Amino acid sequence: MNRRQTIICSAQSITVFLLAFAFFNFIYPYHLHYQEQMQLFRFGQDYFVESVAVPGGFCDWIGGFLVQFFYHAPAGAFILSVLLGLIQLLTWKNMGKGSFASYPLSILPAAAMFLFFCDENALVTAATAIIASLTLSYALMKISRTGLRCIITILLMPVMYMLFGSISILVPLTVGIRSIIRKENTKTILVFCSASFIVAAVTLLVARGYSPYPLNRLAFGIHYHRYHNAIPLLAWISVILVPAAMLLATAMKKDRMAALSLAIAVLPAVCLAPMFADMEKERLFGYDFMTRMGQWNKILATSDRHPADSPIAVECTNLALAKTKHMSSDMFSFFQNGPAGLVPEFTRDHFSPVPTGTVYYHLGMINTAQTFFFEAQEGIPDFQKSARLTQMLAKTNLINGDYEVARKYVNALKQTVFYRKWAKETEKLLDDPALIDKVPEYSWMRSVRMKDHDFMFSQEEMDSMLGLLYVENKANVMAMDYLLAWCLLRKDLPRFFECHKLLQDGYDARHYQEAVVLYWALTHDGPEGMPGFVTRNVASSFARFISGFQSGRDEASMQKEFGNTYWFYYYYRFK
Amino acid sequence: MMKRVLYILLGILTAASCYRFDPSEAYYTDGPIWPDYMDVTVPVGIAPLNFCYTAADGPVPVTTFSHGDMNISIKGREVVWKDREWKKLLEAAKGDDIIVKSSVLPDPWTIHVSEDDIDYGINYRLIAPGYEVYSKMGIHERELSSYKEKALLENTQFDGCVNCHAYNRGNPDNYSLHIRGSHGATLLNLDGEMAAYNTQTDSTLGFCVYPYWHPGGDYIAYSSNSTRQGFHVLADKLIEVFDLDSDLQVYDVRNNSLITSASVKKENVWETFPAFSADGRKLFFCAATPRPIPAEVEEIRYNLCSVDFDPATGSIGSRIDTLIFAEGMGRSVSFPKPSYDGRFLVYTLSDYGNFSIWHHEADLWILDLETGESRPMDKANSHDTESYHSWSSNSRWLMFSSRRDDGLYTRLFFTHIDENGQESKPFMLPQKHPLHYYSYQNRSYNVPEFVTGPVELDRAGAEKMINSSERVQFGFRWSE
Repeated sequence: MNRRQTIICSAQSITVFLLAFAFFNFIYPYHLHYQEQMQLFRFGQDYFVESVAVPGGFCDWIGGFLVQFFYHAPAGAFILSVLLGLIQLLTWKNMGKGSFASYPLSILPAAAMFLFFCDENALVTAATAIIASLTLSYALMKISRTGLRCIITILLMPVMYMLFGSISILVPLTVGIRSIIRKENTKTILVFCSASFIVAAVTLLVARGYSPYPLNRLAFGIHYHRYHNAIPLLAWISVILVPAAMLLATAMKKDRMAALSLAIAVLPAVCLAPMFADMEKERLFGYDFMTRMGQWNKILATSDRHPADSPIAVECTNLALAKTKHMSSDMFSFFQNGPAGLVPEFTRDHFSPVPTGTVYYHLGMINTAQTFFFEAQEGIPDFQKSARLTQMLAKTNLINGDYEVARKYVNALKQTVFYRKWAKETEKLLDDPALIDKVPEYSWMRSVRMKDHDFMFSQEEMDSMLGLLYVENKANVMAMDYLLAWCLLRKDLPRFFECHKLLQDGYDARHYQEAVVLYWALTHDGPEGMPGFVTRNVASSFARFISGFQSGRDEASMQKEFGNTYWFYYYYRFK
Repeated sequence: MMKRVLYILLGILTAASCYRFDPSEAYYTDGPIWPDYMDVTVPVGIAPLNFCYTAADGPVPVTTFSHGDMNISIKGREVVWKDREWKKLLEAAKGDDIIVKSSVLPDPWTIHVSEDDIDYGINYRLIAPGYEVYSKMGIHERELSSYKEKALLENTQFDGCVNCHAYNRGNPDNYSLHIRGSHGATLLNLDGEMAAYNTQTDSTLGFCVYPYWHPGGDYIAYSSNSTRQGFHVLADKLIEVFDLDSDLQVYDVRNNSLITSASVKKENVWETFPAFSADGRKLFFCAATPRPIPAEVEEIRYNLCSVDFDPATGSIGSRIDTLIFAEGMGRSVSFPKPSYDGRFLVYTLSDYGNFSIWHHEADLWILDLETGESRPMDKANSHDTESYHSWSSNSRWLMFSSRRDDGLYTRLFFTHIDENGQESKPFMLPQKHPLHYYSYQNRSYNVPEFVTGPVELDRAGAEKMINSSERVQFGFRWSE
């Protein structure tokens, strides 16, 4: 390649890196946060030994090490981009003395991995395994004697399998293909291929003997995808694309074929990216992240821009409304899906209980929050722990006064990069529990949590539980907001009225007025005796609503005028 | 450049993966050493009782272990034995005391080496102390004379939960192992032959759980429980596990038949936790009067009862005897476990219910089966939960689970029981680096059972069996 061609090739690599970075940092950042909270990477011997004890464990350990930096999305985007860049570069190196035209083909495996990482459950381990394998095969190709190279490769296969996992098959594959391209001794290559096949099979069988995993997982990788039943197809396509690119490169000798080569490498990824990128999930992860960080106004702004219509988004929006004290006045300006939009029922998965646990935490239902956090952590499909959830469990145990358990979690977090500071500060509280009540978050939680009434948590009796929370601490306005909202969302106006009647002044927000006036209209012949806090504006607006409703105005026009009222929800939504 | 990168990577790798003793990991701060191995009684065949000093500051301690003319000194805040030295000392001190002196503590203490042997090892389930969802879990085996532990079966191999496991007096060749979930089954290993069974029949309440082997090996007593969970909202309680119904039955191993009788399948009684007497002619169990759930969950109290059993015919008697009327004490019995020599029976006593692991007040009690006297095992008990327990095959050691250290993560303890039923101060299951190990062990020890030899479980075969849909159906017959 001449200087100009070298510059063009470098530009291609840089573009791949920049595009990947831009995608993950600006379009897909919440996926990175999701990844980060699905693990608890600890510096320590026990964690290291536990990780490397299973096939592919070393690359998994490296992957975990890298994913902890996803705590900051730009760092995560940078790391993923570097990994993709390294895959491209190492593919190119393994292609030998490739031509200018064949250079874009080296992007193919990285492009497949890019699509792979659009799946939130795709694990970085797959990329580290490919990089490790390509590095090793590149090093092995430095051995000029074919026989010696083949023998070393075969001898290394079990070790590679143990360190990198089943993707390490890429090493003999690359070495074999490269030897074929180099037109080395055919007989030696044939023997090498047969021996590789036998060693791979024997390695698998041996691993089956000592490793508590089914054969398919040992063959397709234990740590390449979070779900153990899922075959990480794109990661394997990426693996296959390495020798494919090497072979294709032999046919791309002429410079004028560079455009064709670039099209082959880039177009599929560009065309397929919208199919693989799940922006709906990205929004969900966004809501969860903003809830975690307490970015309440940002949640409301997001819901305003893009109506929150999924259960988790509605739940987070309602929590943001409560935290900003807008629930009673603006709740129905946002989409509502019934009482499940306040606190959804528990589901046995690793994600949805997290925002729900956060709602319970803010309400002061510490045990329930702890249950949800613990269950979410236990539900992580690849049996990892979660740094985020461990932190929340440390908090709930600290609030509950279970200091030894809290300390156990704090100890684990002390071995991390991003939670260490928090853990150290919390450790001081555990050493001197008198300091706990001086931390506003904990002292507030302790003041609003249930102290006198014990009962078994029951989703069906949410109104009773919220009512008791409020009764035990009248400062827990959020509990009362949730109780009233619970009644409103269930369209249980008698219960709403009953609860509302018990309250002092100050509960005269717009939606409460709307509910009272509606309840009055449904149960009385006239406005006589209606609570005085219902303003003239609300009353006249209600009159217009009823008139429109009774005259059969179409839903769209009613929504335009009354879409942000409780009346519209009552008659047109959650039927 | 490449070399530098390599060095940095190796540096990170070393820093990230090395072990060093860190006293700040301690979250058990009661007493000067942890685990508390002061004045305990141990068997000769136990792994070294390594421990650490809980004080992070001050001069570095020198700990001296003496017996006769043997003196072994170990310097450091963490006392880590050389295996050979430990074994030599224990052999020499068999039936006698080892005197332990520390350079930083005023008073010496002893380790009494019992003449009674302990079994080869123990089996237990490792599981996070959670609620409904479970992460990685499995049945593990630990050799007691060393720190060697291996997984026998883990749920990485199939979708499901490994559950109740039981051996016939620790015999590793005969065991019952229950799997829950979509691949639910009971694996029965009879003299090396394993098969997967469907234990639910039309005539019984549900799947068979809480197995207990008949000493003759021809029967296994089970209960069937309709178990539910509830979650408290107050700080000092977390979980309540209770039954909505439960019955007993005995499985006839040779004739593949589940036997029950009206006496242990009463509608107005919840029967659970069966255990055969040492002579195999009685079946101990717990029984409670049903109460409305969850309103009166705190009123459910189980008594310790027994019923006759005829091993010749497999028939269950009709008369129920109440051995411990716990209801009258306002308490509740769970996990009755008779010693294999027939002298004693150890049970757990809590305020109510039968899932004592979630009861901080739960303690171990011992019943003298000859005199009928019952008393709390004060030396073994603590301020927190003591729950599941198991006898060694020679009935001289009792292993039990306890939450005494942090109130949540269950650990294992061993106490020596002498011929009069007197327990010794218990010692915790030893680990090479106990503080570090237990600090980062995020699973509880569950259902610990002694085994007299290593369990040869064909993991791949078991996995295949569990993942297949083939099940041998339990038969059923009424007791004669």
